[in-house]
Amino acid sequence: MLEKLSRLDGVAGQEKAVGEAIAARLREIGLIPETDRMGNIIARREPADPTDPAAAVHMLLCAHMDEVGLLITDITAEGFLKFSPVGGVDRAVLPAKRVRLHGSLPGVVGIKAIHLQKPEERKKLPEIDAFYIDIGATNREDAEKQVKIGDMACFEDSWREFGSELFMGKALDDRAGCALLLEILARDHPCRLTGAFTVQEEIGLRGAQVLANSVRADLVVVLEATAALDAPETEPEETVTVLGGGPVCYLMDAGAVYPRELVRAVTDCARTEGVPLQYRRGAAGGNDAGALQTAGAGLRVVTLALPCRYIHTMHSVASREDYRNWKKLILAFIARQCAAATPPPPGKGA
Amino acid sequence: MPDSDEKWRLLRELTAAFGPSGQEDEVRRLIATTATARADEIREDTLGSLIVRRRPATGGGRRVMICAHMDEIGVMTTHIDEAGFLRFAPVGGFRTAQMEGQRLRFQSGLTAVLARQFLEPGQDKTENRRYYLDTGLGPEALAAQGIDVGAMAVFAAPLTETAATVSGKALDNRIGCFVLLEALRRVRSRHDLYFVFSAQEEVGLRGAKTAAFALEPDAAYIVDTTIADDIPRNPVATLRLGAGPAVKVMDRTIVVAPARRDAVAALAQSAGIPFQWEIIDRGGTDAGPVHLSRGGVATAGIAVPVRYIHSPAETAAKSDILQACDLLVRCLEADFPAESG
Repeated sequence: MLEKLSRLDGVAGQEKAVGEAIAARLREIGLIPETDRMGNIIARREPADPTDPAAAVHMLLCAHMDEVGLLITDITAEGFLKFSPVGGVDRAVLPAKRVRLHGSLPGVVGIKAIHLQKPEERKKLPEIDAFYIDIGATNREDAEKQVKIGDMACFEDSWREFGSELFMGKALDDRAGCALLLEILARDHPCRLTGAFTVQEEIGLRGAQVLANSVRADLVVVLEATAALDAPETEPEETVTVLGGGPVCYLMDAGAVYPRELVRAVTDCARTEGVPLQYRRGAAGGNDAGALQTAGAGLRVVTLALPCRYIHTMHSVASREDYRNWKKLILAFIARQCAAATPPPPGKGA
Repeated sequence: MPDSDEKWRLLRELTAAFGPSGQEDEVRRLIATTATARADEIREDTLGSLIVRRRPATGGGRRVMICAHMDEIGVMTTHIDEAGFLRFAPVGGFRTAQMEGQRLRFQSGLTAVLARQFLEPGQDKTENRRYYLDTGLGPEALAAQGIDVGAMAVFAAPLTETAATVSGKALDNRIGCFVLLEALRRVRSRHDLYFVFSAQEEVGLRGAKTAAFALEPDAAYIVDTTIADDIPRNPVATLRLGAGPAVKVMDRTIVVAPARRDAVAALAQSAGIPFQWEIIDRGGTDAGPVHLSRGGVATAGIAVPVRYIHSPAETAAKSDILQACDLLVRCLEADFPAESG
C-alpha cells in the first residue's frame, strides 16, 4: 500500500489521486469514506464491542495526504515553465531532477551545464526564481497545449527497495502515515476510532484546522514522517532522529508542546512492548498536531513518526523495521489507552 | 487588604513556582489553592489552563473573561550525553546566547549552569546548539532524579525587593496572575467572572485561544507584562517603571478597539489611577487569539511595565502592580463591559 501511495501524485491542494486511492481502500475494508469541503477524507470505525467500557473512548488518528511540489506560475516564450514552491522545497535538490505533471507528463528542472558556468556561478546556488521546468515543448504555444498556469508539478516517482532493510520513494512524508492509518483502520479496536487523511498540511496545516472544527476526540494521534539526521560527522546531540532507531515520539515542535503524561504513556508502552523508541531532538517544524491541539476548546495530541532521511526530496529513505515497530507501538498504544478506559472526567477534552 | 509583607509573599511564591510552557502543573496548583476561598468553580482545561469562576450575587450581568498567562520561558532537554551534559531547545523566547553563565533549575530543584562548549575559531557563538547545561551529575544520577529527555528547566532566581521594586524570574507573567488573584479577592461585580490563568502563552498564545473558545465571553481583559524601555540613553522611552499600569493600544496581535481602550482609561482617570499607553511592535499577547475567538470578543488589555523581560532579573515597580489591581477591579465593577466598539 505504501508503495502504491508513494507513487501517486498529490501536491498540497491537489491531493485528488491520493484521496481516491485511499477512499477505494477504505471501502475495501468495509468503511464509508466521507470527504469534507477541504478534501480531508474521514472514516469511522465503530468499537468492536459496544458494551465494552472502552467503547466510550474516541480516538482520532491523522495522517496527511499532501506532499511538497511546484506550482506553475508562467510559461515562457521558449516553452519553459516557471514555478513557485508549494511547501518546504529546498532549491538545492531541484536542479536536473525529474518532475511530472498530471501524473504522466515528464519534465526536468533545467540547469546550466557546468561547462558554461562562470567560476562564481559554480560556488553559488541560483535563487529559485532562476529555475524552470523543461517539458520538451518547442515554444509557448506547444507548452500551453499540455500545461496551464496553476497546474502542479510533482517530484518523479522513485520507489525502490534499498539495501536489505530500507526503502526509497518520494512523499514518504506522509504517505507512510496514510499507509499505516489504513492498516490500523482495517482492524477492530475496543474504542471508537476516527481516521482522518488530511490535505494541505505542507502549506500550513490547513486541512487539519477545518477537520478540528467538525471532529472532537478524547485523544489525537498524529502519524507523521519526520526528518532523520544520521549523516556522517553528525554529533550525537544533533541527530534529530536516526534510521533504525525505532518510531519517534515528539516532545515539542513549533506548533505544540506535547503533554508530558502522554509522552510518558508512549514511553511506557514502548518499553512494555519491547519496541525501540526515540524522541525527536530539536523543536523546529510543525505538523497537524499544532492545529488540532488549539482547535475549539483544545485536544490532547501526541505525534508518533517514522524517521525518514532526505525528507521533502524525491528520494526519501526509511526503514522497514522502523515501520514494523511503528505499527506495533501504535496498535499497543491504542490497546493500552482502551484498557485504561474510563473516559476522561467531565470538563476534560470537551 | 493583607499587610504588605503578606502581599509580596504571594508574588514571591508565584514567581518561585515552576511553570514553563506545557509543564505548568506546579504554578497551577499554587494558583488553585490561593483562589479556592473566593471561587465558585475551578477547573483545568485540555491545554492546562486554570479557569476560576466567580458568579455574581444576582443575575443579569455579562460573561467576562479575565486572562493572565501563568507559563514562563525556559528550556527543554533534548539530549543527555555520557558525561551528563544536557543539550536543550528553547521554550518560548529564551535567548540562549545571552544567558551564558546563568543558573537554571529543574522541577526537582536540581540546578544547572548554562555554559558554552569549546568553540573552534570562527564558529558561531549565537547558535543554540553551542550551549549545554551542566548539573554536576552523570546520566544515572540525572535519571534517578527523573530528569530525562523532555524535562524542562527555568531560571533559578528568587524574588528580590526594594521599597519600590521587585526583581526576579517569571514576573512575566506571575505579576498578571497576582493581579488576577488580588482582583478575585476584592471584586464585587455584577458580572459572571471567569479568571483564566492560561497555559502555553510563551510558545504561541495557545491556552487563551482554547479557553476563549470554550467560555464564549461577552468581553475580555488581558493582564500581562510589557517591555519597559526607560533605560539609560534611550531618548524615546515610552513605558516607564512607576508611571502606572499601561492600557493596551496595540501589540503585534491586536489593535484594541478605541472604545474599549478609552473606557479603561476613563475608569483609571476617574479613580485617580495614573496610567500610560502601551504601544509595542514586538511581541504578541493572549489578547490576539482572544479577540479573534468565534465571532470576535470585545477585548482590552492592562499591562505592567517590566525591565529586562525574559531574563532572570525582570524588574517592575510595586506601585504599578498595585495600581493595575485597582484598575482591573474598577473595570470588573463597571456596568458596561460587553459593548463592543
